[in-house]
Amino acid sequence: MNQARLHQELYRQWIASQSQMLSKTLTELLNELPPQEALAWTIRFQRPRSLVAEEVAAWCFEGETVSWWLGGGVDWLAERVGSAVFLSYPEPLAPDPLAMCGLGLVWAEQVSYAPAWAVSRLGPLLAPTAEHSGLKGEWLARLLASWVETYGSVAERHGLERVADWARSESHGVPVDGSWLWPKWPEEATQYFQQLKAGLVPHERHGQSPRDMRAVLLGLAAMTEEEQFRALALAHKAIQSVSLWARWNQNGFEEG
Amino acid sequence: MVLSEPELWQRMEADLDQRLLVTPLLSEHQISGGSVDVRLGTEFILLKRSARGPIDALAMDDMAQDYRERIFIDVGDRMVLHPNQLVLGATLEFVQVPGDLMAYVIGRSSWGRLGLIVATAMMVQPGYRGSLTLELANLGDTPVYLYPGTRIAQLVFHTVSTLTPAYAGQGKYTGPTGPEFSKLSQDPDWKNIRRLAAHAHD
Repeated sequence: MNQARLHQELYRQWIASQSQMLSKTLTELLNELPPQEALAWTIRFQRPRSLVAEEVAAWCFEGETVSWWLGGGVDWLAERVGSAVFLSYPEPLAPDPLAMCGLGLVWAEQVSYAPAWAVSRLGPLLAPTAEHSGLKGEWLARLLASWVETYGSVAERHGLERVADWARSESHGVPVDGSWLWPKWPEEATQYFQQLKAGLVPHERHGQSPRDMRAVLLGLAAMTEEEQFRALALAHKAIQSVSLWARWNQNGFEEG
Repeated sequence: MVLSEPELWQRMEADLDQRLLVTPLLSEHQISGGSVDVRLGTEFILLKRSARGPIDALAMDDMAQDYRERIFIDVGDRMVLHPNQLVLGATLEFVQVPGDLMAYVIGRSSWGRLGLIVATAMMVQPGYRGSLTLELANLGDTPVYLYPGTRIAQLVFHTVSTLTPAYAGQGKYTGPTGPEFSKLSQDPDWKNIRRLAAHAHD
């Protein structure tokens, strides 16, 4: 056996042994990729799972038919594999939910309705997401121009002057079609900002869960970087609560 | 004095720094008869048999990965607690205790009758913020399933006569949002114990 064949066999054995720890569906998808790419994605899928990334991804792809798989890595990456999409994110940024909304942006680049998705799902979160994720691109710059037109002054009124300035500096090109309906800026964001600043998990009256994840994340975005660092776990707890509250109250279930 | 149900609701509407907070409150029925039911959270620290040696409070972080593992079990899923197994969980709820209140944590007897003992630091100090770490042990002979989201304990709030919150000197102290391992090794006494141990080994 020459060295090339030896290595080929070692790679095959390694991938086969690692695949035993992955689900059957995922293994079948990996088999559709060239060996080197399958190897790289296998390593990403074996990294410890990030709850923040998973929860944010679940929110980003709510209502979408896409089947998504997450793996930690060193950079943003999206790859379509059959009917699924493999997504990777910079693992050190995983605790930051604003950065993790970048998963939606890297996925959106793969689909024809990317701007429409970003407008309807991220809406006011677009600029904080672009800033925290560090993602750039022509279509994103145009979207930021549209974000500035739509939310620039509202963002300043809600304490996001720094984000608005950043978005102005990064936006260029023709704004995306203005006929798209950007969602309303959630008023609760200010209340959640104050709660985060006080060292509390964002909540509604009597400790009930927030209803709108965008509002929680906008509250986080309004904080200084130093405050954000301390508040990441609180914001994450609130995000978990939003999703849990929705599942708990499905079908009008009421606990006695 | 123990806070009554109307007082609990009233305290939950106070200004942020004086607010009694238990969040997320998934059901208003969690507050009843002067106590607040808290639920089992989704994060756990499993304690495993170590192959390398005993836990030494003097050097607790040296072998941490050898005997403990952090896991996540979602609401709707379950984990098994074997006889004589100890696991650290946390309340699903994040709690803020105002500076003029303290709370007692009481495990639910209906779990205790199945062999599941819910122990914790019994007293929650004035000014505390965070989830409460729970020590869950199965003292029965049969494995027990743990279901995150189930009501696991009750908090009973009391007023304190003098306003000296335990966390007042720590600025904007915010506690954990999941279970925490023992901080025994951070006790100031260890400095002396280490010094004496060094002399004993000379």
